[in-house]
Amino acid sequence: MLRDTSAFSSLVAMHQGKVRGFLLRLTHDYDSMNDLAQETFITAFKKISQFKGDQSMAGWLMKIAFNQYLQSQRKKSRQQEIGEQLKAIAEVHTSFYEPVSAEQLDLEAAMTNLNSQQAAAITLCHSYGFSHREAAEILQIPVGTVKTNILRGKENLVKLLQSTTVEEAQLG
Amino acid sequence: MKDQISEDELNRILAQPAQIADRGFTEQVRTRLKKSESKRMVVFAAIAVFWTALAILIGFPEQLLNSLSLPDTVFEDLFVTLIDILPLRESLAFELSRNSSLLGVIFTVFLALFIALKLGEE
Repeated sequence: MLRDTSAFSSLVAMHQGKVRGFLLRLTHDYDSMNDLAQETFITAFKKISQFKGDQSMAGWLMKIAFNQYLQSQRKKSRQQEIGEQLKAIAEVHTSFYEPVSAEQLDLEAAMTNLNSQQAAAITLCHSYGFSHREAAEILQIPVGTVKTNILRGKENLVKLLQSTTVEEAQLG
Repeated sequence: MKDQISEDELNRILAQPAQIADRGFTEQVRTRLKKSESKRMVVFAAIAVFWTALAILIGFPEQLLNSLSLPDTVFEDLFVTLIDILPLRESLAFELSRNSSLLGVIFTVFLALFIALKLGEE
């Protein structure tokens, strides 16, 4: 078992990118994302004995991360937070990531306009390669709802990215 | 300049998400884990000491007091101090035995340790 902190730290290093990327797409706020990601890994460390081999470690961590996000949302007034978060993300967006292309930044900016269920489903299935069934398990919703959220989210993303490219063309 | 994004193109972009930089995150988690582990160990040790002392005291009160080889005056002084500090009725106070005083000391030490740990967490 991974009760050893050094061994668990290797696991953190291995999965932190995906967990934090997933949470950033949900929270749109770097500091909140880091807090939730830390809580995710601390919770995982405490509950490591509950991890069963019938699911992937990444999937298990994503489920804990999503639950942490839901708990945090229950605690705070969401509308006020989102208003502040969107301002913050415009200023420090590039510093969050390893070197990124303009295309990737446009996508991350567009993702901030999706609701959390759409962003979560798209991130899990299209960016991290989870199946619809695995995503449904992580998000604790029916498979059909996952598919619907992906469909609606992608429609929104196409519109948002098109408007971005049109704006860039006009500026260019 | 393209003005139409196909689903295939969107899928391609989605499949290459921007990578979040670590920027000391793993180290922060490692530090928190070590801190929480050491706290857990201290609390565990404190509880173990407390229960062991309690078990010895209940099981072998006289032997324990003798093994401490402290003069009776120490306990008498302690007893008097406790009576002064605690707002006990006089009749009740005199019902307290020497063993009870020792139990009180152990409990107070444990309580002080617990408070110190709590303060240390903050």
